Amino acid sequence: MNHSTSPRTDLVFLRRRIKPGSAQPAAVQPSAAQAPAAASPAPSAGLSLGRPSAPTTAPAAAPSSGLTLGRPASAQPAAAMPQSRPSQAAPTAGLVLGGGAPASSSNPRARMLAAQREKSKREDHEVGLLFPAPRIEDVYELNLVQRLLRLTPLQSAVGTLVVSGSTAAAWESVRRVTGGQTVDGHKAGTPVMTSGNRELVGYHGRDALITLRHVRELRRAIFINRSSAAMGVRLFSGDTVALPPAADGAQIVLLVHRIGNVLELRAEPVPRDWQDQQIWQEFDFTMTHQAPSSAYGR
Amino acid sequence: MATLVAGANAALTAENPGLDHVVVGMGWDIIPSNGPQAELVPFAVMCDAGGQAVSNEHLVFFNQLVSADASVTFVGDADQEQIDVDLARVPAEISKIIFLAYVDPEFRGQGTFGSVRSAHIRVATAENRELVRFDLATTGLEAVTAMIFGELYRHRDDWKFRALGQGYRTGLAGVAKDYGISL
Repeated sequence: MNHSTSPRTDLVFLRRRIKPGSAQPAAVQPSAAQAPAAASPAPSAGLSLGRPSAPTTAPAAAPSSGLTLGRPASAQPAAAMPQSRPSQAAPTAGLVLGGGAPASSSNPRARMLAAQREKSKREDHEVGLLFPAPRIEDVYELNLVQRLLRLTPLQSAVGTLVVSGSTAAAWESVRRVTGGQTVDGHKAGTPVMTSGNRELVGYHGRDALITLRHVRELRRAIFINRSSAAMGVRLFSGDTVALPPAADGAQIVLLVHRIGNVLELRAEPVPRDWQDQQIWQEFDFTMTHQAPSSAYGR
Repeated sequence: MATLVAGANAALTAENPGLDHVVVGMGWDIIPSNGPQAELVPFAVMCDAGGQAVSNEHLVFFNQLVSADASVTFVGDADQEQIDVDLARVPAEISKIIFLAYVDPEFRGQGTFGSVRSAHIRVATAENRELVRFDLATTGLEAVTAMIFGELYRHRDDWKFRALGQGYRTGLAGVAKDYGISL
């Protein structure tokens, strides 16, 4: 039988397993000529079997988008690691994808936490990009001059946002479920019901309401006022703001828009003679319709 | 696992050397209703040595998922509300973290804790090993609209947990007044 030392590369289904003991010295110990290259901070895009050299921090800081089979380089010196976590501080020889991933990232709970923190960071970033806006405590009336205010995360989430004096409302959820209702009970589109058996946006008597416990299901809502009286917005804290009635051929529509974890209230002028459908169209609301009862399951 | 009664406390880090991370779980059952029903909101407040909320950025709930220092994280779930506390990251200025639930002050009738059954708070390790548990008494709560379930607090260099079960008839507004939260 022929025992060739070179693997058959022409047969792709043949693989040769090399014992780690015999393979390691060649892979780990670079030759003198290769040593400077191994310590250089060039990004590694491929498979690396060597450990980053301890005294040199540059290689550890270099981005590695590939597969690393060495010990993950710690930014913290070993002496500074808390002694209360010996098991976590122990070297994790093995596969590290992405280079800097912590050992606990394989834990589903750690992944969930990381996802929550990432979500929060994204929201903070989104809100941080917004230009400064007054708070509801600072504004008496939203009008063509003072058109915008922004609520805090707590104000955006507690109780009910009550809009009095509106004659019609339209809403859109984060799932793009869209509907509308007038103060006298006419409805269009699809209501959004929350887990508390309340509508996300709807009318209660003559007041339009947003259920803030479920604010994260809301994308935006508009409130139209065709009466000659002002509209008012009231929060759980008791803070209020007014919006004037139509004047000079323009009517003010209240737009409530969620950005991250805050609600923004805007006064948007539209021509006074526009019908509700035209206003929906202007704000890009397309009513969604519930599918009729299907024959499935009969 | 220890079961506490109201007012009792348990040493966490002293009894569990190396504990630097806990999960505080709050759970309850609401009597189901076809109509609008009470909605409980879990809430954590990080307090200073004076027992007041450090700032509104130090509140953790469903619309503010992570505290300003990233030590407390809200992990919401439909059945079990959990708040993750990285004890090692909690700033030194924080002397206690209170855990409460309030009935959302809904305009169309908010309800009370009278419709709540089997409320509890539990503290577990990151690996979900339960350390302490407190089952709240849920009778005679028809007028209660907020409840402080318990608190994590510093005791010298350690962290302890105290079961409270302190009800408020004034809801979140009452809690906000006591802890200096700006609504």
